[in-house]
Amino acid sequence: MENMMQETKAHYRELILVRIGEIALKGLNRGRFEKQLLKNLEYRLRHEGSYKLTRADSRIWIEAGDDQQTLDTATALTAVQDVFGYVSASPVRAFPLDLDLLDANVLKLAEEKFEDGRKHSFKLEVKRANKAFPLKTYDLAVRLGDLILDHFADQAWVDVHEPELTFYLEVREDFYLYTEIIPGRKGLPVGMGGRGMLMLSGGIDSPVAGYMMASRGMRLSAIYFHTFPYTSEEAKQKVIDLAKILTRYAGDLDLYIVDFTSTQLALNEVCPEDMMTIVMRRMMIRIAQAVAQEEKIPGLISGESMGQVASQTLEALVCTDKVAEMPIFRPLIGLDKDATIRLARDIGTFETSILPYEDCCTVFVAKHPKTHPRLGDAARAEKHLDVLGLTLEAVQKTEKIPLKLADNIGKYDRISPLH
Amino acid sequence: MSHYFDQTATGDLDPEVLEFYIESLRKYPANPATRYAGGQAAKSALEEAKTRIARALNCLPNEVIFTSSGTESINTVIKSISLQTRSRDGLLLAPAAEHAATSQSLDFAAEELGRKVAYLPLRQRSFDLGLLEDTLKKESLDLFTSVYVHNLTGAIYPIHDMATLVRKQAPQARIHVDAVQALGKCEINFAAMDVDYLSLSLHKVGCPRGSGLLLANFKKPFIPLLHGGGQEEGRRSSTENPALALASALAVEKAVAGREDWLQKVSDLRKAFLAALQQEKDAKFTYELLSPDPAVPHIVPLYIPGLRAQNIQTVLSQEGWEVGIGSACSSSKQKAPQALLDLGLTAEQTLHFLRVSLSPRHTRKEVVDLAGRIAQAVRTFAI
Repeated sequence: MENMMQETKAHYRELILVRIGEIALKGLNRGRFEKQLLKNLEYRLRHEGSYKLTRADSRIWIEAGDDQQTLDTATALTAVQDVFGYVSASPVRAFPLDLDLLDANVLKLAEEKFEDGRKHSFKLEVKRANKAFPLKTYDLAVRLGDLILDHFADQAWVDVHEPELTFYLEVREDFYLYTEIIPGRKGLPVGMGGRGMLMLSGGIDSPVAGYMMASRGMRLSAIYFHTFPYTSEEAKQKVIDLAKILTRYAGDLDLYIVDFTSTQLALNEVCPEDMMTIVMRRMMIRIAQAVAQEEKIPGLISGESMGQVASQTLEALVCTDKVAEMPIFRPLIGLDKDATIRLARDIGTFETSILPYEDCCTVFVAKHPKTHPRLGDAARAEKHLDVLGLTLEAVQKTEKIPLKLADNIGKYDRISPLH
Repeated sequence: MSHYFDQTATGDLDPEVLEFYIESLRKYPANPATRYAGGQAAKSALEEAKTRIARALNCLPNEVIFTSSGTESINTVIKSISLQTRSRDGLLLAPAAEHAATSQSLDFAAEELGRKVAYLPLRQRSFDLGLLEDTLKKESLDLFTSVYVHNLTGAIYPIHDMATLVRKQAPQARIHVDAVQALGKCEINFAAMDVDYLSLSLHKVGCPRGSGLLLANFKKPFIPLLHGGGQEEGRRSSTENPALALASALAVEKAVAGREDWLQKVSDLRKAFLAALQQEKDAKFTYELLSPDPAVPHIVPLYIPGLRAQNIQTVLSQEGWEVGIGSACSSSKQKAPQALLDLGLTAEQTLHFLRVSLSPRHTRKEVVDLAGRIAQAVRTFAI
């Protein structure tokens, strides 16, 4: 018996299994969602090598492209981890329904896992979707469990409650064997959630807000207000860099850069100092929604949270939102700063955001802004302002920079600060 | 087409020096510490460079040490003397507003080596000899270090008088001069200066960066900053660069030889520039010249209240005109540079410090044009 087993060499096809969870609940929309996820995965992988993707039963399989010998699992796994819309992924070894082959493969995998010479607890988890297969679930589990125990007697021991290692075996038209389940970023595939215009600044919050809306499937565009020469070129570059980082998750996006200088100077001339921040925000919303409307984008996105800075009290938000003619999505509105920072670190924008290049020169910001403004205050502050004229002028002086995912993969891994 | 007015930060690269450097790199590729023919040739080149520098600056060839930068030279002296005089526990003294290489090294000596450090306040942005004299009467000194020419104001400090005072009152103390901004502008005669160490930086005078010098009185040994192969007679270990040494020598010679001519040309340009600037003064543009007396003619420090220096710099830079500033727009987390604060500016004022550097490469027309552009930038964007 043993000789026979040794004669069967372990060979397998390497694949990545992507599990689709939440969107499987969508009923009739399921097909559309799965197609979008497939498309997004394909788009991301297109720039990382040659792959073939197929869809079956609420799962997506990634394998090596036809021109490739083997799958570059590590690269593919890293790449797909940035894509929204799936629950988890696993690198899988697939092979035909042959018991000798199964034994050989399980042993080979176990050998790799026990290579370090240490003791590991394990269990088997078998799922038999193919009811035609002769051995039952329990029998398979026992067979393979015994196999491992026999071969790795001093290292392996079974723990069915909290094992260190789990060998997963799925019995379908082939055997699928794996040990890792890697959580994805979940959310919905980008493209399912409409389009939003992110008001991007160089701070920590707005990139995170963009990320969160993208995780609900929203395709992003972004808009940044540059006030030459008061805001530096470095500040502008920082915002461009942040937008580039976002393409990893949100896909290609257009960044609009508004020349805000004449608006800012006009504001400086006629607005009372303590209402400056509020009026600035109102002008930014007017301009952002004008640009959004031109591009047929139905909503704005902002990184505001409640109560963090003077312009983010409830009254201030009421004042600024008054001029909005489209919804403003604020995914951070109820979040603590710590949570936002954690997210920013996770998505890789934190280190860039904290670079000390200001996006809005402190020259214009009042020392004591009005924290609880009334609507009347804002209207009065804008009394002598040519709101329409300034908005139109700013929209005309807006530059568009298309940013592509392909150009920005792997380029923005910054070293974290030491604290 | 760029108009570069920030030579105090780094000088225009001299094409002759560059050519010589590249040529020398090809000619002397070997390590000067080796004994085969190539190595010996490289060693001779190194020695030739030292001889030429020694002649130009009036020191001995073995008093010339090649370093990577002015900063390294300054670090070497301050850290070394701080270490070797620890048991005497005397004072390390410098004027306020020194370059960060000095102040940070002294901070290190205070924090990590427990040394006593003191800074002499300036008087009207220049050195106060009276205060030095008073201080020397009260304190026991181990090190006195000072700039010769200040990089922000252009002030020329009375280093000969300083040295005389220190020698008289504190003969045991070592004296170091940061002459980084002085080469080619003021006279540097090492033997006549009666100081122990002198730091120089060649990229200010047209040599590629990575070229510094430390002149060290050979009778005043010091603990090296860099330990290793024992190069530079144990004073600065690191494989030497004969090509850069030769380039440095050429740069030094040219700077010294061209000093009078430089002074003449740049003084004229300064007059023209300041006259043009004065003409531009109006309700929307005003400034204050912060140069003390005496000062070098090429550094023009301006306080311009109407618009932050960084913003002026941005506007000018868009059209290809490059000037220096004291301090970039700081977020709440960044502190204003200590040197500027020591000059008597408030934190807000440091953001309005613009530094124009003039050079013989500029034309009269150019500097008049610059004055106009600065004024126009302020008029357009002042708020």
